[in-house]
Amino acid sequence: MATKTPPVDAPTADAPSITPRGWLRQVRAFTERSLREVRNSWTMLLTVVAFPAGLQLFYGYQWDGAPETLLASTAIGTGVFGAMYICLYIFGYQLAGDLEHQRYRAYRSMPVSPSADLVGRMCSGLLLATVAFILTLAAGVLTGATFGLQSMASVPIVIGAFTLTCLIWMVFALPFIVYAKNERVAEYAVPLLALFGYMFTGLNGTDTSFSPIDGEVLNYLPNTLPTRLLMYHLVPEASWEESGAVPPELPTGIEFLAVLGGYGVVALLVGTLIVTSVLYGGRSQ
Amino acid sequence: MSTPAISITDVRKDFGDETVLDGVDVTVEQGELLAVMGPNGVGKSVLFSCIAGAAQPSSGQIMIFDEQARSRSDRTSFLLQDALCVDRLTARENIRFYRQLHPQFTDDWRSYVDRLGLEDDLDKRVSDYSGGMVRKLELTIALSIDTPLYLLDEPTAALDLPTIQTVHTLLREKQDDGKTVVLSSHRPMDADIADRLAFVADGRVVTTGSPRSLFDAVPPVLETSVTNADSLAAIALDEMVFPGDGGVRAFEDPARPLEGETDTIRRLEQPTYTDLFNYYTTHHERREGTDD
Repeated sequence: MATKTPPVDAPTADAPSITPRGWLRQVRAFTERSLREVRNSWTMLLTVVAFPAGLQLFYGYQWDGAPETLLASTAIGTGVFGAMYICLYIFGYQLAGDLEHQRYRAYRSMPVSPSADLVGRMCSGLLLATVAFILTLAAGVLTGATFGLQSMASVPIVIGAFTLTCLIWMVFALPFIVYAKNERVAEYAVPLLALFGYMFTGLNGTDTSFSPIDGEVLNYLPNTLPTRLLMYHLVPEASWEESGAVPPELPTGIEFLAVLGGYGVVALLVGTLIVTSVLYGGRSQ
Repeated sequence: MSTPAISITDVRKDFGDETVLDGVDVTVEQGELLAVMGPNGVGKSVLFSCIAGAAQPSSGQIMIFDEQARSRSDRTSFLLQDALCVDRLTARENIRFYRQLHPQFTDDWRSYVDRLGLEDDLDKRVSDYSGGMVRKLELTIALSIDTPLYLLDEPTAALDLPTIQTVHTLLREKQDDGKTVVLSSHRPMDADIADRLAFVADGRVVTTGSPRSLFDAVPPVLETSVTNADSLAAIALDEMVFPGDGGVRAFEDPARPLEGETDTIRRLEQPTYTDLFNYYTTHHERREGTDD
């Protein structure tokens, strides 16, 4: 084996500082690893590909002849539910596996950037959630829903709202996972939060008559706000009264985007704090 | 005198009310190969985690090449038991992950995979690996990281004898390249490659020294058959006997030396590494208990 390390009495390397390229490489390491784990696991793969889309197909066939707006809004609600579920399940399950097997002891002994770890895992979660969301909308189309855009401004709003939703729900999983350090809890208990939120808020606010929560609150919850924003922007020709989505009126103003952005910032701060201080023992970067 | 690779001063580590390490003092010189010996559960892994910067001691100080252990993370490669590899990935995917993750990961992994006999199993999932194969993969990952200090927690656990010999050769090569190697083990045969041994018991390093000096301090070893174990225990140091190679062994009590050899009890010329291990770990514990 070749000697590569310089004599340690005269170290040439400064204290570890991860270059931007090195940081991106670490982000890629966590993203790729997560995606490979999903590819190698039938359970995780089916959850992404089949669970929310299958649920939408079920609704579509059950509600044969239902108004297009109802089918479209339900597909969006179910797609957001699928994204939440995947964010909680896959992000949480893989993180719990690392904690349960004490892999963070190894990571802490290496020059790993905590932010690269978090961003890498989130990129994977976002990608998988996006796949599930698109498949769910496709299932909606198959069962009679139609989608479009309110305007060109809807494109960044839809992308931003969906990304923030995923980010928020991945961070939502963090405290439970870090506290429990258990794969079974992450696999079975934590994703139930998404299911509970979905059912309790009238399929993520798509049919408010199903929810015990009344009024404007449904325009501010972290699952219903993005769902209702997406409904407004992705279903331009809609009859919301007929579909049961109102009251309250859909959140169309800029202030609702600001609220969602605020949730995203708080989530990012909390996520960074937990990963840096709890998982990496206060390491910077 | 060069800067020590590791300098540990009065380190204590508590988990709640439980004290796992208590007053640990050890110095490891650069280029040295130190074997930290002790039975399972005496705190070796926790000590290694503290040295690697993966855990914070409750008190005391750990310096790695004259810097705080937790201030830098690019000077140690830390092999942990059953912690590095992700079960749902193949061995190749695990290696790829660490190649991307660690800036000092080298292409030497190809050579290690070959020499440890893993090359035909690289595309199998780790969940289908035996314990020994997992250990080989972990060794491949840890040794492929180019750092001046290697901390290897039980590197030969679950390995067969030919593989243990290969691992010993790899560690000697690291040492020849100027690296410092610290390994933990509860297998006496790992003491064979060490420049110095440190025995851990009750969360403390009870003794350190070269194998020669430690052997010299071991009392004469007595051996008898299993059926005569009680007779041996009656005259043995601390009245303790240990399983031996086809019989039982004990250490001669200086206060009650064996008067010549009896028909059933033999005095042995040369203690083995197993005797050394038993003497410094088990007898220490007994004396500590008595002193209390």
